[in-house]
Amino acid sequence: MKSFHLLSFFRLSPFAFFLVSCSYLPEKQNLPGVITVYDYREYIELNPTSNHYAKTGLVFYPGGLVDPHAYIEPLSQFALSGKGHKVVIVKMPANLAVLDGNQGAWIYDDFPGVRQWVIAGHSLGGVMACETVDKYPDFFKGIILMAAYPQTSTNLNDWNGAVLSLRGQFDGLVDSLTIASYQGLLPTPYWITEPSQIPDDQKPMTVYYTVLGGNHAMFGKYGEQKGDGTATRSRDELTADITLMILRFFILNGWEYEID
Amino acid sequence: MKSTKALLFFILISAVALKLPAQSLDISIRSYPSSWYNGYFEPAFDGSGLTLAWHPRITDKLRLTLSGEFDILRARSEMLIGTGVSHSLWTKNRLMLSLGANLLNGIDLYKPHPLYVGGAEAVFRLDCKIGKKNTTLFALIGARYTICPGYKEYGVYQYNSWPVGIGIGF
Repeated sequence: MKSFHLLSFFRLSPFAFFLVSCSYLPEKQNLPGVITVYDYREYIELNPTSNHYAKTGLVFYPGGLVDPHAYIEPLSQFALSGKGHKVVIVKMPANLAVLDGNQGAWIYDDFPGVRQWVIAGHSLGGVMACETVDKYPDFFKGIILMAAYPQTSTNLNDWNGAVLSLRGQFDGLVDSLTIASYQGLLPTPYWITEPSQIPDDQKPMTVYYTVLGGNHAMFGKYGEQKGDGTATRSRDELTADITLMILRFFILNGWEYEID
Repeated sequence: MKSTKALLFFILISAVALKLPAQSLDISIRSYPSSWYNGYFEPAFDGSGLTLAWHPRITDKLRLTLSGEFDILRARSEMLIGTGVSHSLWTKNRLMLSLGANLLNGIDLYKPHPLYVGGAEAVFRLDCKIGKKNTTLFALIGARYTICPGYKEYGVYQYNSWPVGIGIGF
C-alpha cells in the first residue's frame, strides 16, 4: 500500500479527465472516546482504544462520490461492538472505487496482526468489493454489501465465502427487485426479515436483509443523497440495527474471536 | 447552456491565443509522486492531472503563464488556476530548458459547497521543438505544495509533491 505507484498514473489518466464531479462532504462525526482513528493517505483505520479486537478485520469501500470520512461514525459503532474490530476504510481515487477497485486486497501488508478479513462496500463500493473478491477469492472470508450488488461480469456464485446483503426499506437508488435480479451472481440466497433469522450455517450463502425505515444514505453520514428516499427512523436507530446485523453475521461465521 | 457558452469562450480564447505571435498554448498530463503529507514523511504516488496553459511572451527569455488544471489527489478532485512566470535557462538547437514558478488557486470539488485550495510550484521544463512550426514536445519535473484548509477537520489536507509530466505545446 505504501509503495510508489507511478504506473498507476497511466491507469488512471484515461478516466480522470472525465470525472469533474463533486463528492459529498461528511457531516460532523460524533465519535465515542473509546475509538482511535488514524487517518493515513491511503485509508482510515478505526481501532478500539483498548487495542483488543477480534481476529477478523473489516475492509470497507465507500460509496461512489462520498468522502470516506463520512463512514467513520457509523463504522466506529461496529469497531466497538462484540470483541472489538479493526476497521479499515479505503480511500478511493476521486472517491470512485471503480478507478482502483482492488486496493482492499493489499491491506494484508499493513496489518499483519489481523488473521483474516471481511470486505464490505456501500453502493458502488459494494460493486467493487465483489470484484476484488472475484480477483482474490482466497483473501477474504466474507462480503457485506450495503445497498449494492455485483456487476454482471463478477460471478461469485461458487465462491466459498459468506455474504450479507443489506438494503434500506426506502432506498431510492437501489430497489429490492434489482438486488434480487442479481442474486444469481452470489452464493445461495437466503432472505430474512429479522436479524435473529440468520442461519447458523452460513457457508456458502447470501443472507438478504432489509433494514426497516432505512434509506440509501443511512450507511454513511453525509446528509441527503439526490434521488434517495426518506428514512423514517433516526440515524442512531438505523446504525444500531446495521451494527447488530453485521455483528451477528460475524458471530455465526465464527469470526468473532479475540487475537491471543 | 452555461457549459456551451463556456466551451465557446474557451475555443475563442484558444483560437486567439494560437493566432497571435509570441505566445504558446500547451497541454500536459502530470503525475504527483510525493514525499510527505500533513508533516509525515512517506514517499508515495498521490494522483494525476491534466493541465492546459497559455504563455504570452514578455521577453526572449521570459514568459507569463496562465493555466487551468484538473487533478485527482487520492480521494480529492481539484480544479486550479495557475498564474506565474517561466524563464529560459538554456537553449541549444531544438532544445530549451526553462524554470517556471506558479501560484495556484482553486477549489476541491465537494457538495454541498466546494473547498478552497491554494498552493505554489516550481517546475523545470525541457522543450524539444519538432517540425518547422513552433510545435514542441516537453517533459517537466518540479516541486509543489498544495493546501486545502477547509479539509483540515476531515483528514489529509496538505501535500508536498514532485510533479512529473509530459506534454505538447503549440
